[in-house]
Amino acid sequence: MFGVDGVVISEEGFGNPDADLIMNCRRAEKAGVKTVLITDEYAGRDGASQSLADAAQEADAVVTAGNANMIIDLSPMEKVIGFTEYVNVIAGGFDGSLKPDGSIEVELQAITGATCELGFNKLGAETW
Amino acid sequence: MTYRIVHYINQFFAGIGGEEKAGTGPESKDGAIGPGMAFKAAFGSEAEIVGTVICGDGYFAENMDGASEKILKMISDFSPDAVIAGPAFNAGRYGTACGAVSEAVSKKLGIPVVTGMYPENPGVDMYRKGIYIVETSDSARGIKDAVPAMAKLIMKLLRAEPVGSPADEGYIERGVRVNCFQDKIGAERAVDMLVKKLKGEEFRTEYPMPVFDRVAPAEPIKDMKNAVIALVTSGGIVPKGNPDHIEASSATKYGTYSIAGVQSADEVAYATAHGGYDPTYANTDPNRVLPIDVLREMEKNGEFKKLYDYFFTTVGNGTPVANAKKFGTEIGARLKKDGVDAVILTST
Amino acid sequence: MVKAIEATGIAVVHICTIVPISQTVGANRIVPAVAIPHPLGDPTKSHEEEKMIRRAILEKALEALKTPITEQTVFN
Repeated sequence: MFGVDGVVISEEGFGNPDADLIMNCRRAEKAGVKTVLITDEYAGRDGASQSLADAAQEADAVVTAGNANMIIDLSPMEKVIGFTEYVNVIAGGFDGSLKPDGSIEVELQAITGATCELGFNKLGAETW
Repeated sequence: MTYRIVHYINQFFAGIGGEEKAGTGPESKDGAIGPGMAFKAAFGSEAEIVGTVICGDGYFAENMDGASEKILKMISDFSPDAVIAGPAFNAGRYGTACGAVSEAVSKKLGIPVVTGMYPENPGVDMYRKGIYIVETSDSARGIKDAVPAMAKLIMKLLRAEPVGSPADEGYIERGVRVNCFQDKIGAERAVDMLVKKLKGEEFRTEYPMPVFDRVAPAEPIKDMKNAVIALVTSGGIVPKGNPDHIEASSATKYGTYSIAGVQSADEVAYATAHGGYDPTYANTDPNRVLPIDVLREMEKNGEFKKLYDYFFTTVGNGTPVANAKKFGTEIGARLKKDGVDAVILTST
Repeated sequence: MVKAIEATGIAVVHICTIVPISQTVGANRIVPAVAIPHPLGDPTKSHEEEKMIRRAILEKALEALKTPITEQTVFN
């Protein structure tokens, strides 16, 4: 329709958006438009789970923004803007995320934009 | 400090015996035995093999849960800092045992553990995600490379040093995603990739889609009384003398033999060519692997219409997966052409 | 081999001892066998008893072939 040869497809979120991402990819490829997908991954804290909720052979060109379930350690800050007590319940946090010394152990997804699916960051991932 | 390591091996590497001793139950010995001596040399003064736990491959395969429990207890009785298992190279049962023991040690004792296998060992697909499996060659001749690689990796784990990529450390890809920073931002990488794809140039995806190598279950037989059943085996039963010289291991071919008029796979006319299990019982009565006698009775009884006139056989001992797939595809095509409704495939 | 044959559309039942391997590799219909060196036999029993054991396993195998399934199933 637009006379386009190639398309970069991104998404916001995961789960249903993954299904849309793959669906869009399949349809574009079928229509003869070459695709590259940019997405992050929810492969579990051990990185062993399937990264996306759906998959397709047509999705042969993917750029990853990294595994958002990866656990990171944030050292305690002298000055805090906001409220730390919510750390334990936000997405990516868990019971015990906020440590007595003020440090935080949390999944990467707790930092909004850390795995930005527009490809804003240099973060990526490999299979090991 | 000198780390305490326990080594898990099978009956063969422990010097107890070959296939005829595969039924040996779990045993515990002090110090290093067999390949443990090579590890001992590799560790030098940094670590010592304080004990060796041994189990027959057949015993483990046939009593997986019970054996694991016993072995785990024997291992923990040594109060080890880490465990090494095998290497199992391409031995399927040994690889399964090493994988299972390693996984149990990791989950239940929470100490570092490393094993070694050839990539096609079934133990790899079963256990790769949870443990480190160092890549080895397909036979024990590769021990001189396997030992230093395994020793190096276990020392790294003991010292809590970060473990690098499979390529750097020599272990088989576990299939886990690990975050790492790239030189360019994702958007740039995406545009670069698209330009390459549009130009028809080679590119490398950053996330290979998972491949589900599953086959949808075939339709069940609705009318068994009128069904033609074919018999296939990986247990290596062949006409005595193995006329087509099917290899005892790493089979490159399968045999197709007529059983028209044959009522039983008797020991006069048949034997096993399989080099991976104790052949005594199969040779005394090949029906124990290729059940022609009872299938003929069931055929006479009308339980199904006919036993296909040919059986297909190969040796499932270290058989390269690609070969097995080829055999299956060819056999399947022939059976389909000849109107066979179902297949009974026996394995040892 | 089991999967390659089944891919042609023919129902296959795998009689084997090491069920976990068969499951991981992906056989759809699995019937556990007696032991590795004698999957359909038992040398500690008499010939007649062995044949009965063999028949029981084969009956189970036929049952598996007749049963519609949607996923891997072990027929115990």
